Formats: sequence, C-alpha cells, structure tokens
Amino acid sequence: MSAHDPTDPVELFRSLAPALALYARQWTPSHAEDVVHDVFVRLIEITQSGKRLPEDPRAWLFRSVRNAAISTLRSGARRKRREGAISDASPRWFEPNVDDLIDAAAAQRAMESLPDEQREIVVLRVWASLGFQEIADVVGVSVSTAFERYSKALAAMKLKLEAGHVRRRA
Amino acid sequence: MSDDARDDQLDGAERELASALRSLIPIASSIDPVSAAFEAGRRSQARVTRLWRRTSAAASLVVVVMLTFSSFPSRRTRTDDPQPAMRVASSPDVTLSEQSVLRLRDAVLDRGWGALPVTHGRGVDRAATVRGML
Repeated sequence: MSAHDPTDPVELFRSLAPALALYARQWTPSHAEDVVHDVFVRLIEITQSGKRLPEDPRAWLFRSVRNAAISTLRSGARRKRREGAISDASPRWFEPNVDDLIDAAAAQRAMESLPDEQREIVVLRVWASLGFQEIADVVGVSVSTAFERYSKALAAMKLKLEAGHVRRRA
Repeated sequence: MSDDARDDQLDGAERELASALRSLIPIASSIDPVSAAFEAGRRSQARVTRLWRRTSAAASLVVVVMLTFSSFPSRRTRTDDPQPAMRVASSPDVTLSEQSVLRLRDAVLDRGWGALPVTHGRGVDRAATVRGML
C-alpha cells in the first residue's frame, strides 16, 4: 500500500477525519470524535479481514458516520430522559485561524440556525468536497433536492451573517 | 449536470460565502489513526480468541459425551442379559457360638491364657509326635 493510496484507511483518516467529525457534530456534539473513531475502526477491520472495500470509501465513511451519529443521538436522548436534562454546551467547530475569510464563531452560529437537512448538505459539500451525486447517495435524496437544500442553506446563512454584521456595526 | 454547472446556478454572494466557509478548518483534535488501527487489531484478536474458546469448548463437550457413552454397556446388552433380581440379605445371626473368636478373645482378655479351652485329639498327638522327633 503506498503512502498516497486514496483507499488506504490511514490516508482516508488523515484527510477526512476533520470533515467527518464536523459532520458527526451536527447530531452529537459531545460524541462526534468517538463516532468517527468507531467508523474508522470498522473500516480498518474490513480491510484486515480481506473483505472488499466499499466502492466509494469516502461516501461510505460519511454514510456510516451519519448512521452512527443519529444512533448515538437517539440513545443519548433516551439517556438524557432517564438522567434528567443535562446542558450540552456546543463546542467550537472550527480551528481559529487569522487567515480565515470569515469569522468562525459567526459562521458556526449561522450554521447552527439552519435546519438539520440543509446543514448536513453544506458540511458535505463545503468541507467534505463531495459531489451532489455522492451527497444524494449519503443523505438518501435526489440530486436536485440536495442542490436545492444547499442553495437555500447558503442564502439563509448569507442573510444571517449580514444581519449579524449590521447589528455589530450599529 | 456537473457539480460546477450546478455551482454556477448560485449567485455571486453565495459562491463567495461557500469559498469563505471552505477556509475554515474543522476541529478534530483527539482523533488518532494509530489508536483506531490498534483498536481494530485488538477487536480482531478478541474475535479470534472467542472463536477458539468456543471451538475448544465444543470439542471438549463432544469428547466428554463420547467417553460417557463408551463407559456404559449398550442398551441391547442389557436387554439380552438382564441383571439378576436383587436379593436382600437376611439380618446376621447375633447369637455367638461358644467357639467364636470374639468370645475367645473376650475370655482371654478377662482371664488370661487359662481361659482357652483344653485341646484334645490330633493337635496333642501331633505335638507328642513332634516332641518325639526332637
């Protein structure tokens, strides 16, 4: 296996882990990294057992993270109901960087204000760089629906960011 | 329609926003590929160990069952050669005879050798014969 083999689990891990963690954070902020870790463990197990890798490992990883995160969210909700509501402070999603073209905290707030089905498509398109066909496969919608949600999400975020900018200047 | 063609359908400000968002780097601090690989190896090893345990347990069970059946006579033999009916032994006779060893022992313990009965007949003759030989 070469160091730049795109199907090498470790290479996939290095290149996709941040985007996968961000994707998992859309459902389960406090367990996102555990979810990603478990999915990579499964991918490595598949490789070790000699089974065939999924045809599109990137799409498979995002789909698996999505399923695992939703499952964790459901079990977490059940646990919270049992133990009483616990405040789940939203951790930061992005590394602070002076070269950022946009304020990370404002972008996160704008993202958080989006409906789930729009937000996940923004993550898959912007940070995972998946094509609309791949996004449609991961989310389980048509390509045109995926694009429509993406477009609506960007428009809503633009409005939100502009409103925040105007408020700060005022 | 290609992805680029779809992106062209967005207005300029939305495309600009998308590229600005791309400049943000998602946080993934504690995710480590080495620990994931280690965990995968550990799980795989545990699975192999479990499989061996189950296999050896099943093999042991088979051996025990085979040994158990081979140590008993088969049913056919039992029907061909039925066991004799069980006989209940009668209670032992508790009345001790005059010559019983137990009585003699008790008598010797009480009264010494003199308590032994006098011997007659062949034993004396034999002793006399031996004495005569000497």
